[in-house]
Amino acid sequence: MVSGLAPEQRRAAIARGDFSHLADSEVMLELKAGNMDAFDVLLAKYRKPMVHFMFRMVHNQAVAEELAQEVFLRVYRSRETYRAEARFSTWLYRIATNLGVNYARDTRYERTAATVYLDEVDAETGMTPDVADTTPSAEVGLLREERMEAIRRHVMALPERQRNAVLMHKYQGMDYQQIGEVLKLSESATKSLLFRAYQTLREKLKEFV
Amino acid sequence: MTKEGMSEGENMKELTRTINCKTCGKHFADLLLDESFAAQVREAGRQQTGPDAEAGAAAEPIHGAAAMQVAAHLAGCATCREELEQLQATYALLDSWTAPEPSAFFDSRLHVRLREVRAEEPERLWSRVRSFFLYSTRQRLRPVLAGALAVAVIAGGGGTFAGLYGHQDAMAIKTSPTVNDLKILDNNAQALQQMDELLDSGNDNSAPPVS
Ligand SMILES: [Zn+2]
Repeated sequence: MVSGLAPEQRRAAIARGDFSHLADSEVMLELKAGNMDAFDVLLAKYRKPMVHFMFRMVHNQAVAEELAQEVFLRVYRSRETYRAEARFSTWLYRIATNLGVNYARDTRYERTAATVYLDEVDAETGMTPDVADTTPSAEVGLLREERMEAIRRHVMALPERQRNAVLMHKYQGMDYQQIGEVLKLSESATKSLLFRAYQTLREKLKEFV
Repeated sequence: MTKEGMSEGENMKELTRTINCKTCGKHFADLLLDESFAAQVREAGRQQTGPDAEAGAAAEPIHGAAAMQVAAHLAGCATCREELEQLQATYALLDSWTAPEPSAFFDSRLHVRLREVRAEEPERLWSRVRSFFLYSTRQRLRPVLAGALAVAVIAGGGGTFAGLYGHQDAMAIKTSPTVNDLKILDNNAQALQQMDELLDSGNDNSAPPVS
């Protein structure tokens, strides 16, 4: 598991609060054993990724932070059921994805739940608003805002699983193998899910490319 | 499916010219998502179209046949090239959607919520006390805190630290004396934990508990 550390050295490092030699899953097992320092280690590592992930899901910083906090609280509450065979980050993103998706559904931010498993359905048929047909603005900042808003709108208009896959792949730097683990899809299914999403985005974001 | 009379490695150049746009398009997912395949195609493209194209084609192919075929098709097909470039440009464009940094209060708010969660788990008192003494990294404070715990236990007063941490007053007391004592112990364990965090807050700049 941990390279080059004997068990007693490991215990000594943990007692010093030095978790640098531990894999995330082992830090999680420390938390499971009651070591609260492990919580802060995981928090330090995943605070920013979780806030960013949630921000892109809900587009509101206060809500994103509350949801990200809820992710960490669920990690704590579920520590007893954590099994080290799953990669910690996979488990974390599964929690985060569920939370974000449920929030979106509850607030009706979202397409109807009926489309959840129908990724094949043309994204056009959703509630995708048209890109505002504005004349080119001289204001660089305004253009930037507009571009960002268009990206956000079109990513969010993707079917749920495509959207989650893009958020993890593009913005969380995860490979499709791990995304497949989070979404419980095969590697090839994840790859084609992502590709369909990027094809749609190419079509929708043409004017900005 | 293989053309008759074409043995392995024979006339690679001809083979690489044989895929159509549809087949080429099937590799776009890999070109976009699989960096090692994309690199193979780029390298194959250099070999096929570069100054030593003839030598490259004659030499033993170092890349998979698919990469060779895609590279050759892309070199000769502006439509596919353009489509691929658009996909790659869109992929790069997505970078401009940025997200704000976590606010300065993120950790302190989370720790307040975490304490609430932990307060709801009184049955875990002993494992918590145990882990506190087992894992506390503030070695030199241990004797002091151990003493403090002993005093708190002997005094049996839930109010020992309650003045410091107002939110514990919210703990309802309408249970049997035994359960109550357990709760008091639990509160004291929590208070120690919080004191620990307070003492430590100079190093990790986390805000003191808010209630
Ligand atoms: Zn073509």
